[in-house]
Amino acid sequence: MKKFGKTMKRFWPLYLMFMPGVIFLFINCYIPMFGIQIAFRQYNARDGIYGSPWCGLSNFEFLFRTSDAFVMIRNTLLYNLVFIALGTVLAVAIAIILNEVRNKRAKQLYQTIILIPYLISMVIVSYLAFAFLSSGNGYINNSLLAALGKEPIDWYNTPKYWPVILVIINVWKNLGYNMILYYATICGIDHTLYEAAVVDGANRWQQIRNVTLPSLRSTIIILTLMALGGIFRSDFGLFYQVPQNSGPLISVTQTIDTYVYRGLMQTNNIGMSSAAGVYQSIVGFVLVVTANFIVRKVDSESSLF
Amino acid sequence: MMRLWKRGAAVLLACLTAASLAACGGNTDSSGDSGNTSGDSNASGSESAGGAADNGEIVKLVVWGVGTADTEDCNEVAAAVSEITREKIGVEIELVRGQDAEQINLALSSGEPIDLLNYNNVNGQLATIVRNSYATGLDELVEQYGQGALEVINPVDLDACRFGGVLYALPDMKDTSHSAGFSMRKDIVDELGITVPEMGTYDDMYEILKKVHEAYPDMYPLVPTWAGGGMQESFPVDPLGDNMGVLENAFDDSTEVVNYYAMDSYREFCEMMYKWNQEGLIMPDATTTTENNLLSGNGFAMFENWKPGKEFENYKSTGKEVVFMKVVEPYKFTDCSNGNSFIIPFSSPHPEKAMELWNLMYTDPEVSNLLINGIEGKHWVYTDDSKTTITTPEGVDPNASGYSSVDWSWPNQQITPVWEGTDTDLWEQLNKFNNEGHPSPAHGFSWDSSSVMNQVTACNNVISSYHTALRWGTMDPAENLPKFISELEAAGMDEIIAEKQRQLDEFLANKQ
Amino acid sequence: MVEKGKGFQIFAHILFVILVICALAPFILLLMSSLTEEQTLVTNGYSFFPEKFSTYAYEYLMTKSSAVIRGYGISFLVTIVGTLCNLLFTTLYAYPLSRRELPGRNIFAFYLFFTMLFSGGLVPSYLMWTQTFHIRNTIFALLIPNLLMSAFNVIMMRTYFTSNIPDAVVEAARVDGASEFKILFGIVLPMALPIIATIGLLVGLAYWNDWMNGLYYLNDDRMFSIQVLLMNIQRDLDSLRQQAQSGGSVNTANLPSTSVRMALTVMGVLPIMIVYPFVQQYFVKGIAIGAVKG
Repeated sequence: MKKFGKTMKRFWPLYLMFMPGVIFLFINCYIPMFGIQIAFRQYNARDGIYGSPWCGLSNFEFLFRTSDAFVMIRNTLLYNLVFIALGTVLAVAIAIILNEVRNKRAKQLYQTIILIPYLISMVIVSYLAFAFLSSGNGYINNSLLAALGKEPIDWYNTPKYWPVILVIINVWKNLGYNMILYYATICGIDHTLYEAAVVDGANRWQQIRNVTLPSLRSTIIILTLMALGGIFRSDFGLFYQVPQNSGPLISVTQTIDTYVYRGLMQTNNIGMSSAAGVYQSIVGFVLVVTANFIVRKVDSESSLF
Repeated sequence: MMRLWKRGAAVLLACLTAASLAACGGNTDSSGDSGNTSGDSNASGSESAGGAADNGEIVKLVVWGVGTADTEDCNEVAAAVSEITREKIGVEIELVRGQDAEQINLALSSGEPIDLLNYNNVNGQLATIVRNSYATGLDELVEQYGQGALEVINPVDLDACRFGGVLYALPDMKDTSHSAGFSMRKDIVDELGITVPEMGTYDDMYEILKKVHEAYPDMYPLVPTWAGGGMQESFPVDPLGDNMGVLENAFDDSTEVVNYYAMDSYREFCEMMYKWNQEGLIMPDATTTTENNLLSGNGFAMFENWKPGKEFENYKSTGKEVVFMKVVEPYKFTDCSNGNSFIIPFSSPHPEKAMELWNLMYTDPEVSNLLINGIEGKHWVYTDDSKTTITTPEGVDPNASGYSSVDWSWPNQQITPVWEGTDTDLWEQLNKFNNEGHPSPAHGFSWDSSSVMNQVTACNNVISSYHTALRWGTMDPAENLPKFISELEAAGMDEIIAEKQRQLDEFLANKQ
Repeated sequence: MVEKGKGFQIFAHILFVILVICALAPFILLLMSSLTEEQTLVTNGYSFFPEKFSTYAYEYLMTKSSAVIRGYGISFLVTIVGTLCNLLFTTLYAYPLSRRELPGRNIFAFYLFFTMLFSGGLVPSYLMWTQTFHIRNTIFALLIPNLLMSAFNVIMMRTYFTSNIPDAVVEAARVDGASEFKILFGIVLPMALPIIATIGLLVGLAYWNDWMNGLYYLNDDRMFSIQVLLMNIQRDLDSLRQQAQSGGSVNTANLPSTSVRMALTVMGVLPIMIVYPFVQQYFVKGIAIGAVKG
């Protein structure tokens, strides 16, 4: 008890700083969490959240009933792993190269423009993708393949191209955003570190390897950990709107989110959709806690908590 | 150059900031206002919930309608309606329009106080509303306060609004029969001298499309009705709620529930479309296009349902005159008769008053006209003294009026004047069309899918993979249709059909 | 730094020019299609060099000019006020998290992180915000729910604090008798300007682009921010599908045409492209200061 008093006396201003955030999170996130129980109830509006009858785990059943379960889990996982890996590598590389650009004006221009795709909503991205891929008027068929003398491709009916297309679109859209995060960290690196490296005779590549990358390590680890938490989720627009909801592509575009949407659109079953959400959260949670445990063993300062 | 650009940008920024400040100033006021009104409605809600409504106190009812409209215009219409209703039934209204499926579902599932709500935008329509118990049972209310409405409503249509014997909605006085066919551009039809029969077959259509394709090779003879392969149902099935398990022919007496996707007529249709597609009669990208108004562009024909006055409605929206060829005679099924209408949500604080207002919407031409067409002089004017037709006031852009007229989405369009350009006897024609419709043997049956929800969810996903591509002929049915059917069976289609058959048999037994 | 590597500079510029083309080309396509005559768009598809230009889409939007101007105003207000509040909340939470010696900080970190994974869903949030806090049709609806603070940003900022601000600096200030608040605002923040600027930018974008809150909590169109307004014009397709589903006859009348949708996007993105360079100048300055102090 005495120890507690002492801690408070020394640290109370820091605890006080937490308070606005603690209160906001409590209201915005923790109070609504009472709604998680909808996943275990047969919800109907008249009886409300508390009054609807319990139904055990039956709301979760539809996620595992058919062979679709395998397809959607496989797609969600694989796409996310590729997005995380490729997104990180490219964003770090581009951020480092951007930092090396000496012309200030050019640097600013590049940074602004690379961010544009992030600002365009997925619905519009889907129109733009259609402009390139449509079999009637699409650029790739009409201009590119025609010029090369190749047969036009029926993009929206050919699943094999879509894993690549979706990865490209995802990288294209989010590169600017991810890069900015790394770039800020690079900007904050203490310049004396570079100077010391130069004195030691390090060339540019050695500077990057010995100074820049180690400074980015925490950010990379943290961003990856957070991405792992969302590994069972997916960008609905990317997987539903960009392929124009085309039936023949579903084997490679189905994710958990699109499955739930397609299945429940007509019936608006809140219990089942929140069950899907709980399922995604729990998998993400287990994964992050495990990964965080490992990170903490290796490098405690880079862990999430 | 650079400096010029910089200065320009700075000026623009300054302007924007100024505009934003000005707008914010105006805005705080209006937010105060609307805060007050919603506060008022809440307050009166809680006060009069305990039956105080009959004490001559004015009650404020919240009505959610369909279609786009500006808040200011809605408020104006609501004020004008309130003028009348305050006198007649002691009610004022607040009008909200244009809420989409997500907003409506949120409001309903969280019990927001709404007194009358149109469920057109809700996925799954009345069946979903009832299954989630969003609606108030109406039998006693309508008996007591809704006699006027009962007098005008076709009792056949009314029966379609019952679920398990309980009445949950009243049908709007719109088209309650369903007649499918094609609409085609009149200019092309005339130019090629094609005679379009009023009632035709797919073979007739094939000949027409071929002729158009020969004469205009760059044109798309058949296009989807809306983006992403939109198509209206085009054979005479009774979908029995969700198209999984249907009556193959509603004109037939058979009440055997069959798998829609395993029907012969479905297979033949897919084969026909596949052939049409191979011959270039269908727009490429039909299933993925992002365009909606294809007839106004390069398209010639599309699947479209017909009702009296439909030609003019199309003309008004696309500027293209169209000719119709029906391929299915009008017939009635539950989902068509009870579609797009109103309910009293379970959360309504004043269901009795709501019923009285609803009754007035069926019987009072003035109220109905205000809600459908808006304010005279602002949103519409009479064309002459006979007061039977109306038109857009001069100087108002018909596509940008603050209060769009979506007549079918209100209880009774038939007591309002018609728009210039339509036949003056439009409402008689509509009634005739509704009465002529051949009722399906399962008319009035309502499907409750809750016991097979998992199967329905799985089947919906299988359907997304095949249905659109098959019926637009982009997939070869010979190869894919059998795969489709076996996947549906694996997903539990047979259980759905068995359950549906059981419910239907029970319904039919009770009916006799 | 070292004055060599001309070859590398050229390589970097080439790389970025390619990236810029990739980012810009679709946007130009978007701009062009918003200026293409609708008929041409339907017949020929999207094109960088449309056959027929038309400003119809913008004229159509100008019929709603008062709503558009008001929408911009609300968007600017919400973005500025929201970003400032958010930065304050984020910094106040992130800084103590970065203090190694603070007992129990992992509990706060977990408390924060947990909200990234689990959520109660829309219905309970909606219930709470509308029935307990009555934010429907108020400006708070655009400012508060979900946007006021995000766990992601807090964690990013904390990571920056831990890896870029030496403990010694904080310790020295403490020994000199500076209060914790003074350390944060007087010493740590000036050193953290790059991350503050970056997170400020990301938060600003989040506020600017948000339409969900508007969709859920506003039904008075006089409160619509520009994105809510644009979204509202865009999303009429659904109601049409519903009518079709119930067997009724559909009217495609009020659907916005493609060029209008494209114009709407341009109007949403353009202000950011105009304002961004100004923000960025500040950003660059901040980085320079941070570097000097460090």
